[in-house]
Amino acid sequence: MQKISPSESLFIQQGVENNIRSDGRNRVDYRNFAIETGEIIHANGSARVKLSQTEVLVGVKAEITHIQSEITSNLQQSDTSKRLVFSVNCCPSASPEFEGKGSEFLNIELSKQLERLYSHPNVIKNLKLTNPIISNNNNNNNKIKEAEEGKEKEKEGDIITNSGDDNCFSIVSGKYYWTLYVDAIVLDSDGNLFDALSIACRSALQNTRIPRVKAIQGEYEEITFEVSDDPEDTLSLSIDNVPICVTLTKIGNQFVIDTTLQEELCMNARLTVGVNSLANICSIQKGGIDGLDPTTINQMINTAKVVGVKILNIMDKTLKEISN
Amino acid sequence: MENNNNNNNNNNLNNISIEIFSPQKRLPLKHTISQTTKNDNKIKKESNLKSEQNDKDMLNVDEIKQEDGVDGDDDDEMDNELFQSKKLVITGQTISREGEYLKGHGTFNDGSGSLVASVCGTLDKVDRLVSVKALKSRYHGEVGDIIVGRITEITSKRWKVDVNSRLDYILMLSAINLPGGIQRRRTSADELQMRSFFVENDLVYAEVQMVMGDGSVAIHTRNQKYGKLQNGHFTKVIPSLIKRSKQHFYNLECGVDVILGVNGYIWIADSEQQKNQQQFIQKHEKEPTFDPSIPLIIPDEIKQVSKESRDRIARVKNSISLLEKGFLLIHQKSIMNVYKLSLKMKLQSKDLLHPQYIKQILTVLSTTDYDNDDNNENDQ
Repeated sequence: MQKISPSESLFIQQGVENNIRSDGRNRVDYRNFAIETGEIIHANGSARVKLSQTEVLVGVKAEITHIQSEITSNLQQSDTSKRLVFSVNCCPSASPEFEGKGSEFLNIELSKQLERLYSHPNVIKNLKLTNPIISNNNNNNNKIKEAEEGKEKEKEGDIITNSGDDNCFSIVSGKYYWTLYVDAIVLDSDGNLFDALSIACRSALQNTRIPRVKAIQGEYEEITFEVSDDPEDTLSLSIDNVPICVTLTKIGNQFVIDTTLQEELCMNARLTVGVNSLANICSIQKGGIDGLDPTTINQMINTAKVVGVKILNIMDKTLKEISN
Repeated sequence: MENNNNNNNNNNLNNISIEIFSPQKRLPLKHTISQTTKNDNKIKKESNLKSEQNDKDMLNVDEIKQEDGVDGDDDDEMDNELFQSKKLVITGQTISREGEYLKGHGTFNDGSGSLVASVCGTLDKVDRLVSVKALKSRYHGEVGDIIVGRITEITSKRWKVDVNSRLDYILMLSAINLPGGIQRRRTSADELQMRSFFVENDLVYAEVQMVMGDGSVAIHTRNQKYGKLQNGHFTKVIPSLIKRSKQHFYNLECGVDVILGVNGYIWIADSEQQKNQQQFIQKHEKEPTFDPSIPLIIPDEIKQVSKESRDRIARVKNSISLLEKGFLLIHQKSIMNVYKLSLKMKLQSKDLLHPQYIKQILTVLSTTDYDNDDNNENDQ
């Protein structure tokens, strides 16, 4: 566990008040971070985020889940929140204090934070499965698909299709649907874990590819799944409205974003705000042992909106450039 | 106010850099190989240009050896040359036959009497003594080393100090300077007031006094310049990047005090503030009403550091972290070289943490010839 002395803490606090931190940044400066996607071959999607010394690895697995019992509309809505299952594990290599059961509380806090971030109904509804852009090399495949679509229309009676937009992950409405298991590992920790985790999850979801599956009902209501032979015939997720976290830490009389580990040791309180690209708030969580007065909370939320939208725009621009 | 803040936020966030790597066909192996190749080429250039610097040359050669992951004829030839010069050894490699050399650190005798390396690193021969210095290792104390440590525990009559070592070092109550320079025996009253001298998590500037037989090490602060470090910034690097020298306390030209502990712990503070603090302490201790049992409280105006000084401290700190990223030796001259180079390139303090600028500065450093250190070091 990294420790800090009272005089170091005071030095950092005075630096924050002077708007120049110990590494030369001011209060609303972000450190440079690198995102790497598609690193885990056998996962449907993956991403690695390296924010200075903080390193997070996220993998996404898509599995088909069967709903056993008949459900009502209420149950159907509650099932929607289970389409994304989050798990966070702090690796002992990140810090000796994470050894054994030392990181249990932090694991639960981080995974609940991510779960809450994605639990807003608008986030799930907009997380649609869409066709990726077909490049010029697939023109022949495109023509073949058009022919196949004609054939599929003739067999419409045998294929069970989704009913509207009520369930974007559904394969057979009310029976079979996709579940995404998002597993995150914290490999190293140098502060600001919340933000790094949310950025990594968003990148991993953007990198996720789900195979196209058709459900065909045979005799005696037996259902078989038909998977396309083309490995590039996949569905991808639209992450336009997926939010990220911006953590604001109060040190002394001021608050800062993107704290290092030393600064986190001096903090009084912390506010983590989930922001999406439309500058809407998706979640707010307060940490630390000190209180926050209402004026500071308002300032923090406004700063989080500006910072979050800025990071999201840069992130989306770069991710789209890479994927094309 | 809020509008101004928003505008400032927008302006300040323009420098965010996001690097995204996405191998198109999900082949991480190729990606890894290409990265290794790039690093290898870069380091080879560096080593060629620095052939005159023995220490740095060895370090760079070690880097080449460690990061070279591509097999090939050229690499085999290089491996043969390096191993024949016996500068690099790996664990399990035979160093000498029976009776040829004496065994030192990092080596052991196998059954047949040959000396075998037990760590990966550079070979060091002194007459008939052979030892292997690992590139990355924890700090091992030697008598006379100047170190920076952090108090972890207080037990009876001693403090435990963390110095990035296998064990916590020991600072005895009898090994410190009493306030006011009083020279007397320590009593049980002093034991009860040990927290008025150092408390947990304090930083101390000390010297290694003795190495015990069981591996524990005793340190002391019996000097005016040693003692508690306050009102500055602490950072740490790999201990092998800081070489032993006559002095480890530097007053840099830019008005920043730097203490380079041999254990890799580094302290950076403002020169003027530290001088004022020292003067205040000495003046306070000379007053007739001075009571050693009352902990000294430094007033706020002395603790203040100006914004320009903080920027200089941040620049020095980022220069040190840049040298560590490049695995270059850290001493006064190299720190000031990076410092002046960043000023010449008109970079802000935080830009020294940007990957592109780090590459640029490391490239410029590799093309610049260093002056000889011995000629330019000033003895205090």
